[in-house]
Amino acid sequence: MSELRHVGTSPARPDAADKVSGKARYIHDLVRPGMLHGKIKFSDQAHARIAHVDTSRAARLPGVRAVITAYDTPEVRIGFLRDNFALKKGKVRQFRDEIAAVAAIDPDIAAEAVELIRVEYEPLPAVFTAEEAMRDGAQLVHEVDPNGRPRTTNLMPLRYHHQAGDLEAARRAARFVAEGTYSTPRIQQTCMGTAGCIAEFDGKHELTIWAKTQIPFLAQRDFIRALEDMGLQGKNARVIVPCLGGGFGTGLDTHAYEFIAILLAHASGRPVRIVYSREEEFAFLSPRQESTVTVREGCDERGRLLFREVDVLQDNGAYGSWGATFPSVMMLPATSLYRVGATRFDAKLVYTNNTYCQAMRGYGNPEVTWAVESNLDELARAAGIDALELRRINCNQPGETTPMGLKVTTCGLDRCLESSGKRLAWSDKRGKSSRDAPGKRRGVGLASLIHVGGSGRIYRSDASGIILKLDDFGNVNAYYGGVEMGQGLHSALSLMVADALGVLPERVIINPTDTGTCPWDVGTHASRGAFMAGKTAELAAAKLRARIFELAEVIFPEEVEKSLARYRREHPGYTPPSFDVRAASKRERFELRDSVLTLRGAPDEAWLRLELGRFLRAAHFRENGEMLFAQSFYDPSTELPDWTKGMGNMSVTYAYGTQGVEVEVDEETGDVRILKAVAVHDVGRVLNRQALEGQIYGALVQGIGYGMTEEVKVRDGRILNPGFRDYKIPTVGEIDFPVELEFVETADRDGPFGAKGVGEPGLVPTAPAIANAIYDAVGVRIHDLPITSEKVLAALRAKREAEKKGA
Amino acid sequence: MSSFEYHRPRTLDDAFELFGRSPEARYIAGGTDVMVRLRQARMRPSALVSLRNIPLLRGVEPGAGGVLRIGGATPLADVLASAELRGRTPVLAAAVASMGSAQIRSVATLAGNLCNASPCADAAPALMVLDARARVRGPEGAREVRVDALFRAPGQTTLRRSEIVTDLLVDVPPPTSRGVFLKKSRVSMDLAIANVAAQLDIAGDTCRSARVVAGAVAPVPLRLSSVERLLTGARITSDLVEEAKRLAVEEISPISDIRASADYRRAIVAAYVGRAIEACVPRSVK
Amino acid sequence: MKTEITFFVNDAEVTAAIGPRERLVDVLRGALGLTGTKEGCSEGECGACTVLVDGRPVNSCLFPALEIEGKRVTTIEGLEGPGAALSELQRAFVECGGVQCGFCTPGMILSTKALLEERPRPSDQEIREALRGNLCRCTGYVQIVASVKRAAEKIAAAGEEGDGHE
Repeated sequence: MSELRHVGTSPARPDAADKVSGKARYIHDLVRPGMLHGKIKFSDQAHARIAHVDTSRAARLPGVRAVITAYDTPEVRIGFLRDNFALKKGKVRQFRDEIAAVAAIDPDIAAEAVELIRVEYEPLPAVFTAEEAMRDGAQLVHEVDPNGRPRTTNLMPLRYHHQAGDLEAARRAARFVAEGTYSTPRIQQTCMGTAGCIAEFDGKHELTIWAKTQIPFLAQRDFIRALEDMGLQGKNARVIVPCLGGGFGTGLDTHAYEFIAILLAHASGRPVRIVYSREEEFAFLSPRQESTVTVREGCDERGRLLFREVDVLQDNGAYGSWGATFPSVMMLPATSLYRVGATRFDAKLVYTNNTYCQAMRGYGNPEVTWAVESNLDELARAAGIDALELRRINCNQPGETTPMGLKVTTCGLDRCLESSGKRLAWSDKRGKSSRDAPGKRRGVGLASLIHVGGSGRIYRSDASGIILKLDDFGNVNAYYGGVEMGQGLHSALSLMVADALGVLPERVIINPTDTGTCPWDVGTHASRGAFMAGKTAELAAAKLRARIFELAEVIFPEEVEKSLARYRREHPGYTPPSFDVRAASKRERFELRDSVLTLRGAPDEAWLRLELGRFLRAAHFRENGEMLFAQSFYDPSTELPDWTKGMGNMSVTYAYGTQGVEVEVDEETGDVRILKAVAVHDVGRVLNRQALEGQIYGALVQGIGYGMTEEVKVRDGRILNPGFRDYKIPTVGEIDFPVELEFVETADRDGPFGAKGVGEPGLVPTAPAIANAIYDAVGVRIHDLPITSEKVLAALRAKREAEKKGA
Repeated sequence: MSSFEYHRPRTLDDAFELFGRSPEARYIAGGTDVMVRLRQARMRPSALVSLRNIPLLRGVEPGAGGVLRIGGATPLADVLASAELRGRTPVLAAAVASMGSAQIRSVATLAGNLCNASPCADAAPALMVLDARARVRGPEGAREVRVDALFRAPGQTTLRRSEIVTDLLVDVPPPTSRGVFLKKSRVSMDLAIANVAAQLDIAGDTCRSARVVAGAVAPVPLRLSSVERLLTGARITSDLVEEAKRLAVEEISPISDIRASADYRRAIVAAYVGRAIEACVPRSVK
Repeated sequence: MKTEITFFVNDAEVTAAIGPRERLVDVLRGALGLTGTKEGCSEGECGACTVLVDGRPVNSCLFPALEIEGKRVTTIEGLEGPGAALSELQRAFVECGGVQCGFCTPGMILSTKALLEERPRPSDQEIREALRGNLCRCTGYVQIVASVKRAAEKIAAAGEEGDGHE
């Protein structure tokens, strides 16, 4: 590997110029010749039998080219539990069930046609809470399983369980115990670019689909399976990922609308684009999984954590998607955030007639960290130990193995805690509930995180691959299956290829993510993008360097001799230093840096350097000429945990961090103002400081939204706030306080250049840090996110009432 | 897909004429409410008559006798740009600045905000504490209406369908009078959960005149007359402020909705009435 | 029933046949093929569709297209100089990390342009007020504010040097 020249700097992102000039093309901007516009008819019942679907009026509307329902198309089963269908037949289980779809020559006609589709329902009793759905005799959301066998419960057939250590003994030995139940709502990912795709068949019935996906290859597999269901055995599906307007987990599953676009394209014989409007995105795209988490923690008289028990209940909604796998990631904070003697984790997931849920950044970690870190402050209070001190006492250490079997290699958590405390002036401010103005009190609080830092094995393969292809001009064409969704993957990739190979970053061309050209990649999740790009780039670049240096033994002296001859013509009278280029041209002596080949120890003469493009042309245009390219395919040596046992080292390394805030609470209105936020993250190594800061700032502000303003409000299965008017994400106006970032570089030997994945950690501890600061300020604790001023005021009033009665 | 005609008259008479031609015609000014309702199909007009191109309806001018005239279709950005208005009626400037975003204020209008008749309209409390009048014109003639009297019910004004608000007339308060606008929202670009405007003329520590209005806590923006009566002629003491808060809470009738509960709205109105009164007390007295 | 109207887009005169239901965003992205302007919410809440009309920022998703007659529209495509040279404003966003997924970027940049033309040296508070109608989900806004400040510096410096191009 070359030395680090570009990794660690902050050059402009390669995709930024297009984005600031309006040239970047998102799904919404792509047009295919003859393209039709698709629109979907969604259910307006939460739970009902479909008695009749009449599409005749829609089909007759001029401009409509195809109308489909489950009754006139082959059944396409979707979802990892195979419990969902592209189009629904027989019954609907949630308000957004897709019943029919239309393709028309323009979007207005498609929308009008959808209005003309008549559906008759026979309503069924519905269940809208996990508790309701679990009761004996509750209406079943799914009456049969995917194999047609009758179901007897709304409990999902997924088992998540972990237990380690002597829990009984630990419970008995604990001197102090704290326990509480905490909840998080459904959250909308609100990517600024909404969901959409374009499906197109060619003359041989092979499919190309431009998709807003983070899993192009898993999607390819899903789409090929759908093609088989449609009678198109042996046909390919090519998935191309255009510029994405954000991802945040929305692209980790395939969605009914994608299969519907494929069915419409097949039915009409033309490309079909489906794009969600913002209202459709809110109402019909799966939000983040909600949760109810009960946590119980105990410590001894010195504050050492003896046990932690976490029980999770999830209202999953009508079908299985990645919300149903949140408990796998939840096990990380449950078992491994701080050192705990004995641990237990259990999760129950229930089908209901609410909207089904999918992944979002953090993937269960923020949900359990919200509970665990809120509760830990309660435990500290019960034990009379300072909350920061309690965390440091139990801090994870490098080299340890956690109760779930995570092998902690590097760990900067203690430094994160210490530094956060200093930046917050913890010892001056904590426990003072200080008043800076009448009616307002201030407090500080913090919380930490653990997350996977070296990808996370959640499928059988956790691999990525890269192809690096050098051309005649010294350009490096990179083909990588990971997805750029704004997080800066392409930027990181170009820097890492540049440094791994020894070329200028400007010469690295990142090609579009396309299953037709890129090696298989499991997906851009688990904060693995840059991590895996770096690992694969290192491996492929090493192969290229080896071949370049091998060929250079012959080519370098030949070309350099020509250069010398020209140099002598241009500089008559020049005498070269005595140096036997041929003898020196041994592979181990070559160096490639900034796209120039040189010999170590050679005199520093202009003609003794060989520009890479020229080298490559010489290698190509000769007898037995050669084009240089290399591939690598890397699957880390980690384990796919058995989730029923909750054991397995699922990542190569783990990321840690601590965030803290100072808040001011207005006791008359319940308003919580953040005065300062600090985030100290163990990132292994800073690859691109500006991009890293961007990831942490972005995630932290999402954490503020998650903690204070965001909630998908649902009543009887219907989403009440399907728009930005009443689903409030932070605006720039909310970020009116300093945010201090610090990066702890623990130089992880397993990470590319020592780096750990950082896409998600910034969101994980924000909400509990805020809750802990509010408690410090005014002595009330909100258990149910979001922490709105209304909830704080109600809690303050309840506290005053209780104090009056108690007094 | 319902279709309609879009008219851009240059005079009021043309506007009335075009409006009269179409049984289901609606007016549109800035469009920031109308365009949303159109898209949600909550409005299916046969014609839209735009008021954006009628010069008569725009402008912010001082008039005779200390009255500020604001054209009904003046974009909010122009309202805010008036140094005269900012200096003389800060309560209105504060309310306008709280509305929407820069993009919204480039086209949205005061008359539009009033005629949309949302109980949480931000312009209303500010105009009401300034005793503002609306000049209203229709095909049948013109009249003046106090802004207080423009609201009938949520989403309904007391205007006839064909009438428009051509101007707002605002009496510039005396130099001793202070105005405050407070708005509670969830994030900085938002509708009001509750808003409170106050214009108090306090000499020494005695309140000579008081106007206090709360929005989003009743079917229409509400004059808190009991608070005004309490304050007028009274010495401002902390006990008085507490009593004002208590009366305010009794006078309003907030509902619980997707944005906030009635209880919370009561708490905010109480807090804001107290703070508004305190903010209007001259510093020397505090 | 379409009406032919003439207006200016990025200093070029344009004539287009426009229907009564069309919004400015439809005309820009559709008939004129200027897809740099994005539609993020269709309700004037997110600001992704922001363009300048006679120098003022508007949500083009709420702007009836017929009202554009005779007016001057600036879209993101109108900012670059000859040879696709990025303006100082665009470069500031590139250099300061103000761009991640990029969907909010055209609207954000145009709102910034309007701000800086009115307030060449805005305070942080003025920046926040001017941009509160532009939602971003990726950046957390910190680097956007930094981009705006850098743009202000660079534009002021370019102005002092008599550099005609913004």
